[in-house]
Amino acid sequence: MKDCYLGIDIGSISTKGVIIDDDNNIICSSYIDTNANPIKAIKVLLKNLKDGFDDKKYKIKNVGTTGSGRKLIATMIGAGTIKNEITSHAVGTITFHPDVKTILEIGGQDSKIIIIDNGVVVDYGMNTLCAAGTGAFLSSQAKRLNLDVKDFGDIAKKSTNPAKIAARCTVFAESDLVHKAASGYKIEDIVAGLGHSVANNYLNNVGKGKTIDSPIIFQGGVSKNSCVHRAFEKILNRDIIVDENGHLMGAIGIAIIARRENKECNFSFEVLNNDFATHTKECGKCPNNCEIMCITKDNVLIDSWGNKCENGAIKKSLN
Amino acid sequence: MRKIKIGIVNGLLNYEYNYLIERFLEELNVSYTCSSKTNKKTLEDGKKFLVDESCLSMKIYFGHIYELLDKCDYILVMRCPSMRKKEMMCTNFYASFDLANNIFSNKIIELNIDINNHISLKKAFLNLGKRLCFSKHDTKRAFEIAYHDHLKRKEKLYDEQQLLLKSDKKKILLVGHSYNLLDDYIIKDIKDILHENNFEILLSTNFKEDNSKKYRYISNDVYWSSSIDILNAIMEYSKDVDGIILVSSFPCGPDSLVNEMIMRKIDKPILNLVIDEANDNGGVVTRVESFIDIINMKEEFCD
Repeated sequence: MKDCYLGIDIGSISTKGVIIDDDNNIICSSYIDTNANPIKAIKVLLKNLKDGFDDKKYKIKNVGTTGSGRKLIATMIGAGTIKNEITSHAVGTITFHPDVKTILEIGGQDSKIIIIDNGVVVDYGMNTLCAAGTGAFLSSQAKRLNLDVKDFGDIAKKSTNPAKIAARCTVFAESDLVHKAASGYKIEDIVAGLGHSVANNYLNNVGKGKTIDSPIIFQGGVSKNSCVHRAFEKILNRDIIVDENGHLMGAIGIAIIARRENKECNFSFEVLNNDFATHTKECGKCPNNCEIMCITKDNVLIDSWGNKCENGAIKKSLN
Repeated sequence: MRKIKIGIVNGLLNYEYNYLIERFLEELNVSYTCSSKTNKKTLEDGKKFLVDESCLSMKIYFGHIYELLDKCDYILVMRCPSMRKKEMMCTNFYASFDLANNIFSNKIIELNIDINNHISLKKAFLNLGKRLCFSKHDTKRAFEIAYHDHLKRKEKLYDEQQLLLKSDKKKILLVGHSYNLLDDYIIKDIKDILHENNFEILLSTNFKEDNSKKYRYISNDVYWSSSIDILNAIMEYSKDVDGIILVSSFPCGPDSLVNEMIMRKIDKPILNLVIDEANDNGGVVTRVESFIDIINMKEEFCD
């Protein structure tokens, strides 16, 4: 029986899971949409992973979670390791590409740039309130154009003259796009223009003031979109690597961190049979009016958080 | 005759001067009440009175004034165009009094400090005493006692911070204006994460005031007194800490310029955090956690 480690990256748009062994080989992996329901997504994900997993040969020693839903999911499945997505992405990427200097990462709701020097993260940037130029922007534009976002790469390839689309803000970009379409631009030029606008937006926003050195790796869901990939290469005038597992890198990274922490947690796929639910309540005991998140397993409260002070603490025994 | 009650605001520069004001009023035997700690309602109330573009700290300040309206007879609002010779303050500190006076008329009394127009801190307090109908003699005595205590308290805070420097733990310098670093509503999440990860926290508000002009290493042309203080504090502590977190409120003009200069000139891991009105603290948590990882990984690698 060999040890292995489960890493789950629960993002706003997609949920990723991998199981790796001691030598970082991927035993099985799964990539599904979150659909704004992380609890349901995690159940589908675990079922997919279970199907590709030989429980007679391997034993899951530790579980790690990352991504925006990391805390919720860790509580749910009893993960031993919780880490933010920046560190997870960096650790995953450095393991497979030890010489990497810059990681460009564009996900569903946020985008990051990670600067690495000699295998150590030295700086990072992350978009603030604005979600312009992320995967969510591309998906919504695809809907407007009545296309599948997966086809963007092939469509954009045909373009000879990408349309110039305002890159500063999603709202402006959208009105620009409508205007370009109305004034007779070909669909492929508009799609290629969108790729350029995402890349430009990224470099002017999170990439501002950062030195982008080669080797550069582009990952996150949007990296699978070849029109954005090509736009980056054209603007930066350098080769950019897209790893075939780039979309899973956060999950791989957290699995590696879970392994390094040398902890053991009691995880089993039995968790699929439990019924999980969340509810929020407003505390109301002081003017802060904190929103408290409670999570229940088979109708028993297992954890709660969100309260700024002791007044709002919901004791497990009271439920 | 009924005794009047003064309301003291818990915002902006008051974080630095409230102790002095309280001691001064105590010495004159004037009763006062302070607004409560900043909370969500404070911000929501403040937003109603100001344009959207005002900075977060101003909105919080006006929320505090609003809270005090029914609790006291007069609210003391500071007006500080200049705190040191040939230096300026952010225009918000000029504006806060006039805005408050227009919005809540008849309720506001001022504490006007304007060195460039020959109104020193002492003169400002003497004027306040006159307004409250105390003799010059009494006011002067009250100010001198209060000011002495104020300086002593500052020194004590500074000495306490010096003790932290001797600690074996890793240290982070939190850099920002007093109304951000001392307001739990803004800073508590950040401090909690740092404490959980076993870091010692130093504040840029505790520094030794001298005329050494250390800040000139970062930039020769700094107009704002509060920014100069911040830069002097960074010059004093940066060599002793493992990382620096810059905390500013959205959309602070002076900070946007000064923080950029700090990041260019100081060779330490620096995280620039801009606090806005968003309810969710997820973004802040992720950023601080990643920053801690950077510092910890750096050390592992050097070993």
